[in-house]
Amino acid sequence: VNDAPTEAVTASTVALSTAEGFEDLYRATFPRVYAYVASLLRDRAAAEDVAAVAFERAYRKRGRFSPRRGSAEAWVFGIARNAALDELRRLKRRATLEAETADVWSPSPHEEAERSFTREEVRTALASLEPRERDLVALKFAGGLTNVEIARVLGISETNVGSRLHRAVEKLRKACHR
Amino acid sequence: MNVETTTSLIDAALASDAANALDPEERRLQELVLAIRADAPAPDPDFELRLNARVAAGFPRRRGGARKRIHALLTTRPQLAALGVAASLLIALVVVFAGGSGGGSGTGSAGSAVAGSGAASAPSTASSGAAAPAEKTPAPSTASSGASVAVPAPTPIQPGGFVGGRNRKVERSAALVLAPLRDQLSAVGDQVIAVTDRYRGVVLQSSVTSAAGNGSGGWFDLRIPTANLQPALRDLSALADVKSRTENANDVTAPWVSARTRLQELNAERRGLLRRLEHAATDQAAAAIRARIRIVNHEIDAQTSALTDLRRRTSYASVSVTLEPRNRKAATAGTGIGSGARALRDSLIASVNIGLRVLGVALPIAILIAVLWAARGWLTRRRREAALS
Repeated sequence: VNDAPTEAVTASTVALSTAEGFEDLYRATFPRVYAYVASLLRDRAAAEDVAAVAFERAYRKRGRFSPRRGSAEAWVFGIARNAALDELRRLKRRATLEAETADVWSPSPHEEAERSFTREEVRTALASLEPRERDLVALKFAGGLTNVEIARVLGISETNVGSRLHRAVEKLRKACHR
Repeated sequence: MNVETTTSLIDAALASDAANALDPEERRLQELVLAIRADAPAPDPDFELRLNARVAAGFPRRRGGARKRIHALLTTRPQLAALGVAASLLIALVVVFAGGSGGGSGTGSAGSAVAGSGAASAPSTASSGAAAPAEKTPAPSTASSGASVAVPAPTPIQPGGFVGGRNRKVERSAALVLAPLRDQLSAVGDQVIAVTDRYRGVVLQSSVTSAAGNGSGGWFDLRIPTANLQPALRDLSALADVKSRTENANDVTAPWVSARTRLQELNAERRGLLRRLEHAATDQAAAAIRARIRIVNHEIDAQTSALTDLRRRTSYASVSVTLEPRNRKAATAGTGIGSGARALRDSLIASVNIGLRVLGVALPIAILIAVLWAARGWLTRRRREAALS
């Protein structure tokens, strides 16, 4: 699911003004962007729509990207987060957010048998988090962003990101120990 | 475990993809982190292929995209659409009103030019009472052509009378102060006399003094036929820069009619006395009638003289021309470096004036747009974050 960080860093430094540069960024971030959006929305179809919309928006706005305001990855995740929150709001308005059943995970039966205990624990623990904490955890673990990049995406300080992450992980640990 | 420890443990686990902390509790945390990451959803391969193709094609636009976006904006964010329409209308109104006020000021300046030209004659015409309206008519013709365009044309008035009152007797006078160049004083003086002759006028008195210092100057007391007054004034004004121009009008119809009526009465009385004298019975009666005739004759002479004086005053306008020479240095406004500098200054002032007007319109619009933009961003952020509440 996750690509190597070095690859991501390389992609973030690529000039986005060219189609090739954008493709490199897309390849480096697509699985993680999808994982993040799906974790947030808990709806496969909606996650696919949002991921597609996010990359299309990023493609159209690639001329406006400025490296001084953060990495290219943080920029793409910011766009994806905005699209996901818009979609989440729309889903909530339509009262169809029954995503607690979460159809986004579909591991193979073999994998399921191998790691079922851990996955069950993890899902239970994640469900105990507040939505904002889930957003943070998704950016960190599904999105694979650094604390600096998360700070850029959320518009908060890096220290604040560390504190919030610490609290969220502590909650997860406690939930898993029950 | 503190924040720093947690952060470093998480980063180490994610970087090495292994839980390698020695402390069991810390290793447990790293295992949890890796489990969460391993549990992250993966995209469907079909979807990935479709999106790869779209990215490779550069996200070709679908037909009717703009229409769909407008429809989406109207349905999902009607407040924003309404705000946009309101802002557009407000901007249009501001632009329209700003343009309208600009045009108004232009007319105003033209009007002020007329007022300025009339200002010189205003005090005197006011004192002339009923004749003032009649006298105001020619004034615009002496003003700039631009000013005469801005003023609606009044009812034409015949020289020497009110509207609809051709037989009225109006006494007219004018005073001109010209500022010729000091070395052209004599020439301008000659031209004043030439203009007077051209319009069948009379120079009653004149004096022109040419001196090196400040003592030079001149004045003329002219009588111009009333019918030729306006063209004569126009030609006199063209001889040099006009420092001031004043025109007066005084209606003397009442004294003229009174004098004429009195003269008719006196003539009738004289004729009656002469008839009575022919039939006088005694020398004593004849002597009394002759004495009375002498008195009437005196009165007839006085009234005739008064009528003649009135006729002369209404037939000829009294025009006073004063020459106040000026130095060439001050006069050469149209040539040289000084003139260029003045023209440059005027242009700069005009440019700044225009710039300020444009700024006066553009700045509020820009501030409004900036405020709306910031408000829109703030509202959008709040709405999005509310989805996580």
